[in-house]
Amino acid sequence: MDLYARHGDLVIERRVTPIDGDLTPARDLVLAGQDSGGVHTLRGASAQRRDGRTTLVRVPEPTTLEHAGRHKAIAIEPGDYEIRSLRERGDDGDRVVED
Amino acid sequence: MATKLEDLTPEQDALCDRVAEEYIADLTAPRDPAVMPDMGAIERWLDVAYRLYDLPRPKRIEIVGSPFAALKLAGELTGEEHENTDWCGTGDGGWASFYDYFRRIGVLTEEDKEAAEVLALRDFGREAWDSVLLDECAIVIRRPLAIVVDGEGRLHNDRGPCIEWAGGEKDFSWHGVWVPERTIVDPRSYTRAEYEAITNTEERRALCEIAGWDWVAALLDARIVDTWTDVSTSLVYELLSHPGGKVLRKQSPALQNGSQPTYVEPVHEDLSTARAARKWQATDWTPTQCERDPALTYRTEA
Repeated sequence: MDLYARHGDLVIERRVTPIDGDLTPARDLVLAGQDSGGVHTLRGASAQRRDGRTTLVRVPEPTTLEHAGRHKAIAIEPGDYEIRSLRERGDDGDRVVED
Repeated sequence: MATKLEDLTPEQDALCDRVAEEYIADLTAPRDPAVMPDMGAIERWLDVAYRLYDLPRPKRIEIVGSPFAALKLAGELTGEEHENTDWCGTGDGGWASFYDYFRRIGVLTEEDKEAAEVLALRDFGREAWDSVLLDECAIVIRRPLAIVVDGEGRLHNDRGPCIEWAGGEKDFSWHGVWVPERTIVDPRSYTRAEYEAITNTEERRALCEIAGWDWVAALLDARIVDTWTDVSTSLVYELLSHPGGKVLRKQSPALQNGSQPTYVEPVHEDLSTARAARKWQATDWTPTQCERDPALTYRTEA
């Protein structure tokens, strides 16, 4: 299995088929870390929809995924992506990794 | 009227850094608990802030010792729960310094209204950490008595609080990660159940670094089941088993500061290899599927 990227606790998987359905336009989309301050931000314009623990994201032009103070920025090419948190065991099942 | 400059002189260029250093140094400058804030500076900014909303500055101004005290008082005065302050005070130093710099090089003058208002905010921020501005009462939070940071400017104190509030409250942080007081002052007092109840991976990492991984491994009675090194990144993964389950201990890719901290995260108890555990975390595959096909590559890891 080849995945596009890992950014801290976020997994970025590029879709081979376009996302179906409506997406909400966004700018500087915060993908995780709102509560802790360790924010992962997709810079610039995008469109997104939440689907369970996954965020479906369309990126129209080359941009970067940045983190507040910890992880290095990574390049994101135009395309459709599924972005989700790593999981861990806990709470009598699986849960997303919190950072 | 603002003046336009096309180029900075070497002196003006050097002043940029000096202004930044001045504002940063002010953040961590200790405060004398006996010295009360300058009410003149506070009232000047409150006049501006309330005027922006076409309101008169309330007669009642309450000076409190911490954000917690401010939110509690706001709740008592309004009968509603307040979860957030107004984020107006010392934290505005970033852009107050920007305007301050242009005033110092003569581009803005005291006669420029907006510049004057920002300078009032600058003076307020030197006295007030933050505020909760209500119609009938302005609640102003005093600057902390002490703020301790590490070499990278992150809140950090390995011996005590990173923030001491004038009201007596204390906050604790490990290189920018909020942690409970106990993690700093008595890390090895955690029981296994208490360690396992920590759900935030950064907080867990902080405890491992402070108490020592060997101590945590002994606490969990953990033994290494499998080790795997990703040859493309040289990152090392260890799967450990303990009476309560299994954990994956893994090295981070190099961070912005070059460090590679180690994280310990609980994984499915049916996993038997570190490589499959890594894949299990990133997918919705079952442990059996991951063991059968543990290959997983990322184009980029950061």
